[in-house]
Amino acid sequence: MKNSILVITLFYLGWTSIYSQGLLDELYFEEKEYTETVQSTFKMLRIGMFHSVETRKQGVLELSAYTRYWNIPEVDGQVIERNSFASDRMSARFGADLALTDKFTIGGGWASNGVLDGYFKHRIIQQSSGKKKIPVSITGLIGGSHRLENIENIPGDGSATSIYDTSVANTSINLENSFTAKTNVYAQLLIASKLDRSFSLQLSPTFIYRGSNRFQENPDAHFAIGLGGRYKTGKHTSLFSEYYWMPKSSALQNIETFGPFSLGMNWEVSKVQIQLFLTNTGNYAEDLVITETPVNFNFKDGNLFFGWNFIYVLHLKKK
Amino acid sequence: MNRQLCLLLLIPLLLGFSKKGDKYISRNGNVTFFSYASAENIKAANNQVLSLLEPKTDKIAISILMRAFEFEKSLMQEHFNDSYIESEQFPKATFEGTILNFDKDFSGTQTKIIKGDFTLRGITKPVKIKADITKTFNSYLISGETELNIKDYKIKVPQILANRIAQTVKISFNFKYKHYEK
Repeated sequence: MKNSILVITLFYLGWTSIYSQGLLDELYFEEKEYTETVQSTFKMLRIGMFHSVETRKQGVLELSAYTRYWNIPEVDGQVIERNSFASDRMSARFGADLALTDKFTIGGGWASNGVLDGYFKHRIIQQSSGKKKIPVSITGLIGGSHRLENIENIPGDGSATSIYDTSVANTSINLENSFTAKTNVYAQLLIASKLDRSFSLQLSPTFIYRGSNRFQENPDAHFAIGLGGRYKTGKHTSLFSEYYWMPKSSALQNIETFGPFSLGMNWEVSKVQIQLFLTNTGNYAEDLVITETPVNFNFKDGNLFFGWNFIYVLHLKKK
Repeated sequence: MNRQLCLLLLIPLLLGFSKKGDKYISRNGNVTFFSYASAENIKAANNQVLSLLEPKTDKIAISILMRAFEFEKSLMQEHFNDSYIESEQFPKATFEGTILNFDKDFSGTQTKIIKGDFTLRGITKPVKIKADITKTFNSYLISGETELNIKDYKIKVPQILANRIAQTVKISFNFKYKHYEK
């Protein structure tokens, strides 16, 4: 009997304590379990140089101007070229990206080194929290590039100076006798997770097929893995970094190549995003940058490229 | 003796059950905000606002999910959540208050002041809101308008956008309540 009184009393106390909560607490119980898609894993279509898992919402047009600036090293103590304005050389890419649906985005661009590139990407899985939890976002991407002019590669040892050494003839690793010979295609699976509200990570397995090969020892198909991250440092600012790693067996054999790397900061407000970063390449098309980057990342002239991306967002369709 | 005690304990319990029926709920309440600035007008609507009304005690509670606000431009919605409201850290805004001099049996429209605490981005401020309360058969309607100063809730606007986002945001709300049954 005593036990039952105890049980009843406890139940009673329990019940009244539930009941004595305010109306707002009662609403928490009422809030239907809600699944929320995770937003802003990355803010724009690219982390920096390479694609992010993000697609844009239908009717959004993104216009972009990417530029890179770098200095030319001295070859055998000789100054080859000097430009008084900011840097010895620069390159640029102008592009446009359009979201056809909320999950499907296409884009393309023209780079000043004579390369056209294009891609389309489709969101396969969207990360979500709440009742239905999905830990990662996955986006599939297919792209390619076409060289209007062939890019010359170094025959040498991977040092920045040999690129500019005119006593050694530069040869392209690709052929240039047909349209397909000057075209590369690539496919990527972009797998990203927003780990907390300020930190996102992305893994990007990438397959690249080059349309032609001048040297027998080089593979036609390449496999690489990209790693990218974003860390939010303020309400409108974040840091980002990217790196693509390629196994030696998958890389070019006749010249030494290095994984493209970038480290920079991102500032976005209203319709504008500006990115400032350091990298080791002056090229833009993903397939070229991943397979044919001839120099390693360091702070020497010829190795260090300063990147400046400007992106403007237009809403063609309003709700 | 023990049995009587049990019964005695049961009385408030049963009262508690019966009290439940005195509440009214709005599951699809509407909250809209407008920011009128010289360069750009921003408008967003949320049609999933939850609210409970207890006419017996004149009490009202509102819970607003920040991610459910819909904007004209998708990028605005993203910035709103990511850079201004920080909805991953503060997923909702809440209001808890009392309707002053509320006549729960008056059928028709009465304009009353609702006094309470509004919490946004973890910051709670006392507010007074004028609202029209209409009682129809078995339901209540509450609607009105108020203003909010974004500085009160530490929503920072970068200097470059100072003329694009107004310091004072106009908020209008519309709730239709029905009897609350679990």
